[in-house]
Amino acid sequence: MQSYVFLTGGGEMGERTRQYDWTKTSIGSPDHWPKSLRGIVATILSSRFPMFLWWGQDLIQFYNDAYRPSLGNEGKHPTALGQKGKDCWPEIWDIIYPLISQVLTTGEATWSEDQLVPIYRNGAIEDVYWTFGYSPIRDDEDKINGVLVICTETTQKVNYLQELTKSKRELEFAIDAADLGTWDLNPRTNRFTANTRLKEWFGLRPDEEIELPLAIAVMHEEDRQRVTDAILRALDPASGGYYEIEYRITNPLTGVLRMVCAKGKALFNEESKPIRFNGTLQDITEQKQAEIKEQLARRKIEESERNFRNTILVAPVAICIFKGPQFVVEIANERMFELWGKTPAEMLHKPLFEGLPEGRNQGYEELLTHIYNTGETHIAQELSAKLPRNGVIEQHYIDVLYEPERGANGDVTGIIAVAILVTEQVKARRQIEQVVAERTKALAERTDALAEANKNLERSNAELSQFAHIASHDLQEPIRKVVTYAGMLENSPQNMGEQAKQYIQKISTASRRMQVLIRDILTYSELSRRSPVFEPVNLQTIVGEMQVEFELLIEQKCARLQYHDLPTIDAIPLQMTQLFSNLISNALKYSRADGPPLITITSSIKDQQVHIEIRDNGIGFDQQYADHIFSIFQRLHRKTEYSGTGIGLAMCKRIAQNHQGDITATSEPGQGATFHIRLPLRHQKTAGR
Amino acid sequence: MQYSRVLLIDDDEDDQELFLLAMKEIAASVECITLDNARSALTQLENRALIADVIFLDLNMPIMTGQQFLSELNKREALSRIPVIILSTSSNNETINQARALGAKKFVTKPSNFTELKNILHRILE
Repeated sequence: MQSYVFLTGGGEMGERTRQYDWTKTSIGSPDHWPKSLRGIVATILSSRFPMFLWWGQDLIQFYNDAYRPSLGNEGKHPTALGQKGKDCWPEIWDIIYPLISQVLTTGEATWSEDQLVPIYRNGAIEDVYWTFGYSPIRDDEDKINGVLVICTETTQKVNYLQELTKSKRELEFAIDAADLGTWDLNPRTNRFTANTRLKEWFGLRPDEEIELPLAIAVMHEEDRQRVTDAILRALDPASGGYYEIEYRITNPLTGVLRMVCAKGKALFNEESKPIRFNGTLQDITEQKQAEIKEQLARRKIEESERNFRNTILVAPVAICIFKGPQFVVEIANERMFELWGKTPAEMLHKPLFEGLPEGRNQGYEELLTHIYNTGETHIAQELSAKLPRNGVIEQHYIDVLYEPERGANGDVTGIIAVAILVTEQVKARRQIEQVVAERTKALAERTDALAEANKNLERSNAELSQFAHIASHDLQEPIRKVVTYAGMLENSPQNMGEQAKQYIQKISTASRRMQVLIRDILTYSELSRRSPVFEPVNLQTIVGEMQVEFELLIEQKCARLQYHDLPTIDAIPLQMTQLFSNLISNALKYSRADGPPLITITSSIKDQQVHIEIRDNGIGFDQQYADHIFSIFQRLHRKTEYSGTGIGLAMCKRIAQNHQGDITATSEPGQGATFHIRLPLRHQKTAGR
Repeated sequence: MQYSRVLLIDDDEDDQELFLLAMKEIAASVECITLDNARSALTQLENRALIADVIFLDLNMPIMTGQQFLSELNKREALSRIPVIILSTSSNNETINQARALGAKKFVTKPSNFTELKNILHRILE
């Protein structure tokens, strides 16, 4: 190995250049290198500046240790040494060959700053930025035979710049997104630069400039001095340059009032003179308004809470609030302490059952816990409560309302308890209930006795009725014979003396009367014997039949019977016949001697009731007997005056009752009588309707 | 006279006597038989031991009532055509309707006057 003076030193690349077998290249052994090449290679190897050389027709390459990092760890180093340029940089040959060619032909150097020249290194193509110059190198014959590259990799610088640009853009974006205004005051000129938004707030066009006095003028009058002071303070180095203040501005164009928060910092030079003062301006109008609203709301809440507490304290019923799962007595009014039988000192701010241990084991712990856990309102009346009174446990009763109290997030935080002591009422009511129960029992007993008596009465009535029926029925036969034989005797007078004839006549009269009596009693008793069958009965027809029946009597007495448009009602037909027969017969019987009888029958219907009036112009009766006449066997006249059994009107009354109706009479002596019959128009169990 | 043999079934001896007395006065030629037992009457009629053109029948009788007699009579083809006239103390509508339903030709309430009895019988037998 030959040593060359010009190849001494140069670190790794010096060593490699010395070791390299240059005879295999077109430039041959260093022994034959021209002087110019030797000089430049020596310069390259000894330089700390990254340098690179292309030499000769093949553009054979040289580079130094400073250049070596640009080639990376895996890639072109160390093969680039002695290699042809074209073989070394195929990936960028298109970019660099024109430059090389230009330098070789024109002899003019080039300069490129922060040029992106991606190269293969570290196992991959990397984006690498360079600032480099290509310089022509002349050979010994003064002919340009090489290109020296002096370069600096500026990838880091470019990346930094790009980062910086990106951050700036991000900051702008952030400012924009935050609706921030930005400002930059030159303390020497008192002029601002500001972003568009801030200018807009101050009523300026984007291209207009701002001066401090103008900005101050836009501020609210009351804020101006404060802001001016703050700015002066920030510009005083002693303050550290910090600036933060809230003030109001009114847009002079739109009149819109804004609350803004200005933040900034002043920078000072070595002589402590402010050189720059910049910062941001934030529109905090909404925030302030919200704050004010919140303050108002909070004040209202506080006020209503105060009111609520006052209400509790003065409430006419016992009220308290328990807090937390231990039911700590937060507040309670005087009535509640009275109810507990405790003093405020014993109860306030303590768990309920700690202050009132007498309240345990009565179900209240479970009840309150349930309410606290479920949030359900609980209302109960007359709960039993054993409470201390002057050291003795007494039985009391309370009406309660337990209402869960909820916090801002809706969770149960406590229980509002309202209680009313109802011990006296409960005791009084229980006494009343006891008395009522006793009386009810006594009444029930009496009712039972009454029912029993009633049943007996009904039975004896039935028996009596049965007796009357059987008696009258069986009496008919013997009386008929007495009447018959008396009649036969009367009709054969030839065998008897005068006396006997008179007696026989008396027997005959009495027995005939007895026969009528028996027949009437039988008819009366039959009225209540069987369950009647109702059917539609035309009363006009019934009265018409009566007119035929009483034809003879009517003729004899020159009587008139007036009736028209009598209705059809649900009734027992035979009983209707008996009713009208009795009443018309009565009217004819009790007629006045001084004039012909006039009987008028009218009817009216009201509320499903038929009211029938049978009016006569007969002798009438004193109104005091109006009830009396309807009792059986009651007569107002001697039977010699007016014949009759005293059963007819009793029968009428029974018939009216059988129809769930009623019969009454009104009269004055000598003024005629009016009988009023009220009968239901319809009857439920009616056949054939 | 449309009937020549008259049968009266009545347990009351007085009424039998009054009936025969009345019949004797108004229709002496008519053959009158009186029986106080409806069951016995029914048997005799069935056996043809007794023949009647018309039957006067009381209702309220022991052993067999008039109503029972009527329904038994209805069951017997040969006897059901004999006209039956009820002669009863009762004037109750229900009793009257019941007798009609059982086929009685006429219902007479026993009068309390002998002359009236004769008149009634006369009208029936004529």
